[in-house]
Amino acid sequence: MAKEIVHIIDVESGNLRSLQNAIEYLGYEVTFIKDGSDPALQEASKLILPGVGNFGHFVKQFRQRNFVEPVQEYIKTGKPLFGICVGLQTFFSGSEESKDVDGLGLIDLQLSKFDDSDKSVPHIGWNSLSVPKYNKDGKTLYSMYPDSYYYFVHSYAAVVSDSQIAKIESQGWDLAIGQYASEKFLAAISKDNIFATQFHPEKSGLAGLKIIQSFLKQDKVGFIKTNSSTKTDVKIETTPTGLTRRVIACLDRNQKEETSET
Amino acid sequence: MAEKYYKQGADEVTFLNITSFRNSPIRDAPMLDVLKLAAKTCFVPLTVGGGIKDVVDPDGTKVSALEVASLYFRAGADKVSIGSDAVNAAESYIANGNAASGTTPIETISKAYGVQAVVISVDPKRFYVSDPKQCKYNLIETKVPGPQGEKYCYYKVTSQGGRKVHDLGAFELCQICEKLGAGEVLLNCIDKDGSNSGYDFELINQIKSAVSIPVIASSGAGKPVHFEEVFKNTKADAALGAGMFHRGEYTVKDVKTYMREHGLLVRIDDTQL
Repeated sequence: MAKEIVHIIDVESGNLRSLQNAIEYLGYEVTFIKDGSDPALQEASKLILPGVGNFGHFVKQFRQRNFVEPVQEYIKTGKPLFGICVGLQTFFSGSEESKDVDGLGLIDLQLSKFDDSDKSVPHIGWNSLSVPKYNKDGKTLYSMYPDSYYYFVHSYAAVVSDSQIAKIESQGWDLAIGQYASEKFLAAISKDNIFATQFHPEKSGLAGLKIIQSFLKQDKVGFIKTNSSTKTDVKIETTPTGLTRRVIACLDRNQKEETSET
Repeated sequence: MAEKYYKQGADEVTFLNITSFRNSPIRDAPMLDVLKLAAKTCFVPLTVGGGIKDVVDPDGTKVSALEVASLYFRAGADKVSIGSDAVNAAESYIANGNAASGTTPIETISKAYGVQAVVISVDPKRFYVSDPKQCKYNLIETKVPGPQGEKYCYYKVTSQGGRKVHDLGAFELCQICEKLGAGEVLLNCIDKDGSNSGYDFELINQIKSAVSIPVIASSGAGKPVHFEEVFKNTKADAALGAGMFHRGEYTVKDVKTYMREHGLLVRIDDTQL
């Protein structure tokens, strides 16, 4: 059986290999679309809009490559669209990072930079989230589990107050809320056929791959499955930022030579 | 190897000095193949360090540091780590009367790929002073006095694995590099490197007070308790281990399990899709 094709918008602003690897790992094939006029966009049945780097640069590229209208048309067809990182940010009206560039404005909110007075900025590392609307019934969206951690790397975010959350939810959006130190921000957004995450599911281990898989299978709402290996009797700290303590493994050739000599 | 670490639960995998470019064109660098392969199965961030600088291929073609970095990013790297060129950049910044040139790899790469893609790797070495007034570098009062009972110390930046000592403080270097566009500090320590005796907390706290970007503690990790200690005694954002994992003495999972048993918040990934 031929593998199902997933289309990815590529405005050539950064590395999409990891995303491609993740989708291929899940058993799909990837086709990149580099211009909105590409007929492949009409044929796409699952479309991903990943973004890295600067908001203004990304959105300008997105506009220059004629993606605005075809993507809006795509959204109207009801076929699934998944934005990642700056891809999510593109759905908002704009960003403090590049005030002269307008986003798509699906959500009327300006992105702003995290306040670095109580934490490191950029927000780099593994953080958790909650989907209040579903979590209270033991359910969640696209396998985003409240006891899992997801990889974030960004300086700008949809930083929101409780009243803004309520307002955006009243417009039909389902929201995953993240918290970085004292600031609440939108970790993921979902409405009808649109889904987007601020974090990188393709860099978030198996927990992240599950989210991509749920999107590709369109398993939107499901019960939370608890990761039994996270159970513990020990009282676990609350970190000041919400981020986990990162453990990095390093492969160093100099080390290798050292040990092979002994 | 990278996949093994990923499966053990590493939050990030860093490759250092895997390739030197002396004999082959950069486009054929073995590191690129290592990365491409690792990126197929490791779904956590990958960082590459060593050789991110302006290079000249054997046929005379000049390749800029930005182009070298681009090759790495396209192969699947999320960040590049800049070592000796960070020292060069900071030295020319000072020589320039504290002005950025716009041409250093830190600046060109962070402008193109964002600050989060640029890690600076710093190799500080401790120097003692008895009289704090006689020192132009940012000083700390140390709990580990020097050989003559000196109560103060600072850290100088080194390169070439500690062999070359620069007239530049690690504190000052990190501040300059943050201004130039570094997004994270990989903080080694020449005095601790390979010692398996634990991290240098005083150094880590000093650098944390210098910058607002995340700091990765490195050098000195030999057993799981060292990871607990570094997170309980400093504000390090991450801690790195190399030899202890490479020699197979401990797995990343051992470290994370230990940390969790001691109340630290760590990521435990799902075990299956």
